[in-house]
Amino acid sequence: MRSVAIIGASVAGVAAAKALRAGGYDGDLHLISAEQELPYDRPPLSKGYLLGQQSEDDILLARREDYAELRIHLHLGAPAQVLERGAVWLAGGERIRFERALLATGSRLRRLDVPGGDLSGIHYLRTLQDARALRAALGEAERIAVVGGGFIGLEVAAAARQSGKETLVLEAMQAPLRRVLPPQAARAIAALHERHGVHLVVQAQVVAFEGDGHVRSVLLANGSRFPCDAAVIGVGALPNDGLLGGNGQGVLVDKHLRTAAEGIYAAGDVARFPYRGMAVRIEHWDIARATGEYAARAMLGDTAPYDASPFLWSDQYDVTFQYFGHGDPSDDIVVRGDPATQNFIAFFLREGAIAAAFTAGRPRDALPLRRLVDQAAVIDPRALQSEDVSLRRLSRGE
Amino acid sequence: MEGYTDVLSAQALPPGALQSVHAGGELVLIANLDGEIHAIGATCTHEQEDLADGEIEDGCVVCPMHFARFSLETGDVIEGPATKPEPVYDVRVEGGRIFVGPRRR
Ligand SMILES: Cc1cc2nc3c(=O)[nH]c(=O)nc-3n(C[C@H](O)[C@H](O)[C@H](O)COP(=O)(O)OP(=O)(O)OC[C@H]3O[C@@H](n4cnc5c(N)ncnc54)[C@H](O)[C@@H]3O)c2cc1C
Repeated sequence: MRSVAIIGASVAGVAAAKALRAGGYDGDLHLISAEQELPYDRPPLSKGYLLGQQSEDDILLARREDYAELRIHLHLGAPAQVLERGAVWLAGGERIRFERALLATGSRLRRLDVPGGDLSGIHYLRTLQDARALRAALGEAERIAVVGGGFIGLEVAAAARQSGKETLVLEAMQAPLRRVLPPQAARAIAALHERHGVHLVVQAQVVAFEGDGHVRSVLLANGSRFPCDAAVIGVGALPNDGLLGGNGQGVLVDKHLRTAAEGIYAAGDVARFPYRGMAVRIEHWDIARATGEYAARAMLGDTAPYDASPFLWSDQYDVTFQYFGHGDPSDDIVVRGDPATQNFIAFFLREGAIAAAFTAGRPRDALPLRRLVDQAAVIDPRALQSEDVSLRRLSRGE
Repeated sequence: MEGYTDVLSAQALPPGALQSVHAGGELVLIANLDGEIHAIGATCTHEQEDLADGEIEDGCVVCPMHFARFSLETGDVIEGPATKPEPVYDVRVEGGRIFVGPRRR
């Protein structure tokens, strides 16, 4: 193999580039980015960076000199426009030939298409550029409306409260995160935000933003109107799968992360990969890193299938939530600890086996939980509930 | 042993165990890697998690929060999300006690 092109220079793309070199790959290595900035990490954009605790330098995925050292040709501000067999065309007109390519184009935000949606003061949060604007707005605005109570929306709400802003969260379902979490856990998170002074409105359907050029209020379908001087919209993301003719479902890969197109792999948010009999597309940092590294190894000849369990974290106020595996809120739920104290584990059991676990405040249980989910362990629910039973020992089959 | 701090009984740290201790104004992680004692920084350089809540795997300590891996030997980041290495400290075992010395790197 003498030439590799990686399209998309974020978590998956940069992990793949580093893993190629670490795995001994010595040929040409192109890393292609639509963005102008040196590749950076996204999770801090709704956490430390937004709060001003981390600088742009702090969140780089690699320093500028690392790219030179690793002989990575970094193409910044050069979106790939056409991907064909053995070559990719960049916006500037350059054509890069490759023997293997990795599609790591990630996802983009779903837009909320309502009247007033383009007023100034309305923000989205996906890129560093978005985060710069939002960080500045958080400095000036007094009343922030967050539309969408997903993980990122809730992190932004926490950051807004921690910056002393009046904060409103508008969620379409009966509780934030209700689509992904069991009711006990979703309620605990809602309570955490209310305790910190967030005004949470559920079953809220936003139909318009109103203002005089700048947003002044948000209007719901039921006629209620809430004043705000900045709004942040987080209503989900869509895969950037257009280069391979995708239809918004992501790019399907096999267990070696190969797409149907010869020599082209996919990793990260854009990939839909096999997991326990399903084909899943999951927007988590750790999957982007793991699949990026895995695809690099697969290009270098590793034939082990990709089978890692998904993992997600979210930081809100001083609580870190962790989510292992891929559960469904309709699975059987068994709880250890007390969700109201932000010190608990919710196990998702499917046909008796642990399919997933959502937890907060229990760092010592994290690695054991990950093992139990990896093993799809079948364990007596009473043992899972009881604080007297060590998860570390259970996870080691003791 | 000038410059060394008595931190722990060696018996309190069986193979595979981790413990964070204070030594010389720093929080230091003491690890028993198959009978060999190592000392590196105890605070994850990513988001300040206590590495003693993690586990030893393949010569590394694995952070419980986002699973960054640091080599117990060199302090280097073996796997992200952390990007900065941990400091490494000299460590000695004498008379059944573990002593942490000056920073090596
Ligand atoms: C604010 C925020 C907070 C988050 N917090 C967490 C968290 O706490 N925990 C967690 O697990 N996950 C979190 N995530 C999700 C995580 O960041 C993503 O899963 C991860 O970034 C996906 O990485 P990726 O490399 O697949 O794609 P992305 O990060 O989406 O990057 C894809 C890159 O490809 C570029 N690109 C797209 N099309 C082209 C093209 N045609 N040519 C060239 N380049 C192209 C894009 O511009 C982008 O730079 C967060 C995400 C955001 C936005």
